[in-house]
Amino acid sequence: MRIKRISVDAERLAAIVEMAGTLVQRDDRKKYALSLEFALGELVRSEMRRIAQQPHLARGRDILDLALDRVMHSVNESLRGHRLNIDLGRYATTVRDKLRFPAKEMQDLAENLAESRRVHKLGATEEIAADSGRHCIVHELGLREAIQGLLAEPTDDCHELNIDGLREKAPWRLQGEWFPYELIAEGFVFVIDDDGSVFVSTENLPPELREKASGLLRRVVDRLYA
Amino acid sequence: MISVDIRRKIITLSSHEQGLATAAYTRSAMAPEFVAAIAPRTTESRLSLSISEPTLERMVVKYSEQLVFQPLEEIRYWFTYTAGAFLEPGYPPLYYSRDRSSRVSPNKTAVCAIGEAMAGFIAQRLYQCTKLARPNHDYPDVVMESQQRTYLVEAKATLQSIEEGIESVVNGELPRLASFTSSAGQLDVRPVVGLLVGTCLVSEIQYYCYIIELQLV
Repeated sequence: MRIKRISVDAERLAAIVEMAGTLVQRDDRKKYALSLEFALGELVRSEMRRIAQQPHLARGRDILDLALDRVMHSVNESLRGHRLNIDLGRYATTVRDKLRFPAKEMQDLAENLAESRRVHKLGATEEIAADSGRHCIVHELGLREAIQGLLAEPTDDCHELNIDGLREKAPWRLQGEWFPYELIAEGFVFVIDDDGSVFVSTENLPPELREKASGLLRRVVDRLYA
Repeated sequence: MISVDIRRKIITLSSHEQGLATAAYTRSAMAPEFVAAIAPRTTESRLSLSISEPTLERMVVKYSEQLVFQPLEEIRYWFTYTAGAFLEPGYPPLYYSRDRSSRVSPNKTAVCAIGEAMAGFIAQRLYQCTKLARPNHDYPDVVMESQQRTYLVEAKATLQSIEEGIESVVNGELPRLASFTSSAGQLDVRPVVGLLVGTCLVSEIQYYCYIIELQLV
């Protein structure tokens, strides 16, 4: 069984376009698509996080303004692409109001993140190529001296997840009928989510076992993304 | 591995029950009327699932807005305390030297975090939903979607007993979520479903979930 990978932000954008299309169709100003507002808010928050990870973008800028501009640009482009003429300004206004305080927190943390990276305080992020040729990104989660887990994410060109490829690999054991699946392999539990991410906990593990978890993670994603 | 016993109710709400929900939410005297009206519109089933601790940890990261680092450790520590282990060697001696009659309580933030994580997990596993949004300090806790339907998910959690604890908490929340789902259903352009997920942490390896799914007709 191959299952479509959810690219979360792309799905949210698609959901916004779909709902905007229905709003246009119904042509009813009394309708207020709460789901659209929630999806837009999440897209903007996600964009703020992306900006905050890049100190040269975040420094001296209001990340909420920047993120909202970028997201609305992208939404409006998509709407134009679908020939939908609708102003989502009132949703953007609500989202801006709701995200004011999270934006301030992110703005403060962005500087801390830049400094932590400068002194190598945090775990590393590495892009790796699997045997299948597909690339993925592996994040070490936590402080460098106490890595709590490893998280693998596929790159954007991965559109499907080969769940059966994991189910068929004895003696690995795949648990669950839907996401999040749990793969039990050599005593480790790999958590597989609908966005294709794979997490394995390495909390309190000695270095040699962490290495083993890392090696297994590569084998898991090699099958999953193939 | 944590085993999860689930009691699931599905309630279909016509405009009459939706009106009663709003009345019961704003005026508690109307609550018995609302409860009586939904009884014949309720179906019930039981099922069970399991979840590993690493998966629950990931769900906490994905769905909880609580700033809590190791909720599972916290809860395990609490169950160790309530088992009386702290009277034995190897544990801190101070937790029972209280100077008032107030009860020692578990870390509420950790309990809430696990409740939010379980709500997200149930919405994914049982309803094949994906996360649309996790609103900040807003209602409901999580917004999920599946097949162009929006699921408004509210999470509750407790360590108390099943009947007096979580079922009572969830039943108490029901008029609010029913009222909100009704409003959202009238305003939104998508079909909207309300999902109330209550989790009782019976022990460190056994949870009980009481789910109410609200369908508007």
